[in-house]
Amino acid sequence: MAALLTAGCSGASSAVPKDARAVVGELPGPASTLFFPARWRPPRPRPPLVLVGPELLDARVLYDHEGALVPFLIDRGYPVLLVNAARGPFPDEFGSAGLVRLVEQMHERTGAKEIVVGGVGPGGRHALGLVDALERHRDGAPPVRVSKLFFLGTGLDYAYPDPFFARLDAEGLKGPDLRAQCKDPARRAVCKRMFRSSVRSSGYMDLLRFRAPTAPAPDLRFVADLLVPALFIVGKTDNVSPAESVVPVYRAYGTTARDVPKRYFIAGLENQLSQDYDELSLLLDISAESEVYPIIGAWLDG
Amino acid sequence: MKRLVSDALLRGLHAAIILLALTLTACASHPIHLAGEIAHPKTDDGWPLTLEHLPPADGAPRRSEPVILCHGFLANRTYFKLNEEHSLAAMLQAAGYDVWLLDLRGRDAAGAPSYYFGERTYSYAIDDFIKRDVDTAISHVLKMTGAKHVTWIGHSMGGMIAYARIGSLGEDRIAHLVTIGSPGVLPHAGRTLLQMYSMSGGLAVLAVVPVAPFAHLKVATGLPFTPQALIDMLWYPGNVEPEIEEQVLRHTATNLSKGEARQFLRAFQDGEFVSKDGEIDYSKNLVNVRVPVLLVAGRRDNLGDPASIRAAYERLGSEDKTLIMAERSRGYSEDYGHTDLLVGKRAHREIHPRIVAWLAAHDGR
Repeated sequence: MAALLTAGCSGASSAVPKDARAVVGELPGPASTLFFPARWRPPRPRPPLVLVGPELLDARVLYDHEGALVPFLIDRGYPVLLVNAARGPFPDEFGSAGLVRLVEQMHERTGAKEIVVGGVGPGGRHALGLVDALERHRDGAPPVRVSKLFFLGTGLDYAYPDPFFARLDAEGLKGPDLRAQCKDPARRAVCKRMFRSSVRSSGYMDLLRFRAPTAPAPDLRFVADLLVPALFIVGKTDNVSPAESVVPVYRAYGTTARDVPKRYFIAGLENQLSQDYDELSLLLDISAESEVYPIIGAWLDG
Repeated sequence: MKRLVSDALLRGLHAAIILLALTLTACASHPIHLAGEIAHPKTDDGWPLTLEHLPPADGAPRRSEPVILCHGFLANRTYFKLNEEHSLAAMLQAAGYDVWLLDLRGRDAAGAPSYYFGERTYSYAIDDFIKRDVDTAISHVLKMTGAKHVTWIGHSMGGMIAYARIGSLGEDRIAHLVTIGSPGVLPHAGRTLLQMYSMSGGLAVLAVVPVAPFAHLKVATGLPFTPQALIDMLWYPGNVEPEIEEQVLRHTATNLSKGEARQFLRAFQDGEFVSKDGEIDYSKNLVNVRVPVLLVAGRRDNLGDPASIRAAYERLGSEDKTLIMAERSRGYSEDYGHTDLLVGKRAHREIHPRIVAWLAAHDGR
């Protein structure tokens, strides 16, 4: 974690972990990809896992420290293709177009006919668009089946009263580069309040990256028609991707078919975990590996 | 005969526990001085309620409506008096409100029910609060004050029964409503609630869920007679002073009737709050609530969780509705839990003044 924070302070973001073997695919605009091969080959091979996000935080929170999510997944046999926002926030159409092209390239190169999709942080919302495109075969989507879907700390519906991103606007944090803005001494106090975490580190500000472009609330009614089994994990004290931004989508998800497996899990004391998790601690707290990620592992394996 | 003996034994045991608690903790006790005139109006099915009258402070501005404060699940009206001068009740008095603290049926102040036999047992459900107790309380307050309407402030279930009364039974004597940690649609049950649900089969043999005796035992002995997982559901320990926690357990813990427990657990299981017979969908009928509503929510609240409060906010038919979310990113000192919203360390500075300000802005409107 110290290395991660040090790198964050220096502004460097090019350090590629030794697990990441190759950069795959061509993506539009600011996104890039990293591929992490599975560390273990189970008797029944796991499908590749396309992990979307984060956008708000440096993507290294997912792989560059002990107990991170990506090592957890590749240890379980899932090859992980991480799509992250490297040079700016994802464009709005990312999920429906950019990610589809990426999966298409992967399908052409590897022949993979089945994938797992995950979304992390607010950027992870684009995973919904990807799943929708693949299920409906739109945007030229290849014949690839999504077998499971999960979200970790991903806000999906920000139409609740006085939502997080509107409050960022109201506080004057309107540009896409949050880290640069939060370095401004005049905004430091606001940033500390908006991005508080139980993780004992002053590094949150340095890990900040990009905020999504302000856009009208998307029409999420399509989630009722989705058929992919989906898991939604929310940090109890996550004010960036709070429960109220997830539950309406969870409730509506897969309701057309009625029997789509889905699960909603609050990472907090009410589920007898050691703490109430927030946006950052879901990704950086060492206990997440033993308390939260096994929920994902069990969901994917089940 | 066996049941009569059993009832007497249980009552005797509980009395002994209370005596033990009082004796062992007398030195550390924090008595509650705020007290008003007590009345025990009876419901139309013969249950005495308790209404405690706290008149407006001398010299305070006159307000147009009396205010009824109604407690929640597992509690009684004393909740509103903890913290003494920092309590919501005291702040409302100081702001000129005629305050009435309500104990719903089954609370000790009006005579504790029997466990098995007797004139009144723990046989009631939440429907009885909605249909009879709220009606009786409002009628009594209007009669005593000469007012035409009341303001209702409910914590947790105390707000839910007001939603249900207005939305499903057409109650038109509540002009303004404040709900604090009150889900209109129930949150998705976490592990602790699911464990409680899995144990609900025990209600077939129990006369009551004996919350009060165990709370008193915890106060008396310091031993964990109330599981920490349950405490975590009710408040965030980091945001409640230890002496307030002790007062909550000592003065407000109330036994849970089987009917209440079953109705609640079913709601947590299904997500919708419905009548015991399933005929009335109180959650669905939130759309019929059209009075001005202030909803107060806490980020850490596990019973009135923010997602369920959002659902209530969106379903309410009111044009004038305001949602306050008590969380650190909005400048509050802490991410508030369920009970913290009333008795948290800084609730008197961060929560109560916003309620009083909202009421003042709506006074006479």
